[in-house]
Amino acid sequence: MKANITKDDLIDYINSNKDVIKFITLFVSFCTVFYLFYYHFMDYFAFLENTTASILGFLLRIFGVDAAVTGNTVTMDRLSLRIIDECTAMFGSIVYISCVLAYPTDLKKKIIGIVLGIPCLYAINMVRLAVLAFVGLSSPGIFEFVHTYLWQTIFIVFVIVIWLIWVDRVVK
Amino acid sequence: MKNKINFLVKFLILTLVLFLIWIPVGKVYLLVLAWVSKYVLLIMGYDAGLVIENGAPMLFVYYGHVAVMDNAHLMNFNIIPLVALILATPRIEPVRRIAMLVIGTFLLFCVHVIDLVSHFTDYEIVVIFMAVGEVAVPFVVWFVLAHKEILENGQ
Repeated sequence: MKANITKDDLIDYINSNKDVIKFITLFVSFCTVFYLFYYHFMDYFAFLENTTASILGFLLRIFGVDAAVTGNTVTMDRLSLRIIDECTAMFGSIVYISCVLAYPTDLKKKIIGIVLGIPCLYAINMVRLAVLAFVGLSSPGIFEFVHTYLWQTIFIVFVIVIWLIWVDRVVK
Repeated sequence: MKNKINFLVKFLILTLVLFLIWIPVGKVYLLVLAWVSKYVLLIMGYDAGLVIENGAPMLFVYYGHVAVMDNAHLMNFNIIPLVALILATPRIEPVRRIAMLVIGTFLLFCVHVIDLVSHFTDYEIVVIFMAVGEVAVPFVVWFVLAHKEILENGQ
């Protein structure tokens, strides 16, 4: 094992890993820019919470649940769910769009990735919310665990899966 | 494609198992996180008191400012997808895998400390940015680990 890292070693390392360094630099930059945009115009994105709540209420009524929607809150018989920004797939979408834009391919493929990927993420998010509502109604004791599992653990994989599908089916 | 399905199935099984393991382990992790955050706050000039009940951190107190930690345990669960992604990715040398586990867990620990401290100090811009970081950090660490396969497949 070498004790000292020379400037040449560093340059060699950067050259041999330039693709991954470029991807990560672009990815972090896009994440930061989109986040700052979202933060600056956060009030304009508030409609997403209400829209998500309305769609959730609609889905629940299709499945026979008596759900009333007021603003960003969905009220059911024994359960009330408030949709916050983290429930709108916004942050997952920022990460996904940043992944697609940072990936080394042409603009047309990137646009396809975004146009197809974001609705998929939103649809998965709606399924997640509907499942949570049913768990909250039928088994309130495990609601918090399912919420945590579906919220943090599973949602990350959907971002990665949709991105991998895009790489596999569109970019290749 | 078959490899990708295997990877996904392996990932989902691992997340479920690790989730069940993390429920008790996460309580210890939260306690360590609260103590480290307390000293970070001290360095920042907030001599905050940490209230612990039944071995679990409950709230930070600083001159009438109280940060309740009743939902703090929820923010730590993104360690699970990170570990599951690293373990589920095929054809990675064990040394590299272990290095990524250590580096990734440490990075997420730092993100969690920043998140907790920014909640207490009311840096809203950081609090919300951490919501992006919670998803982005596991992805970045995993990409560093598996980039050769992903980039080669893509190009």
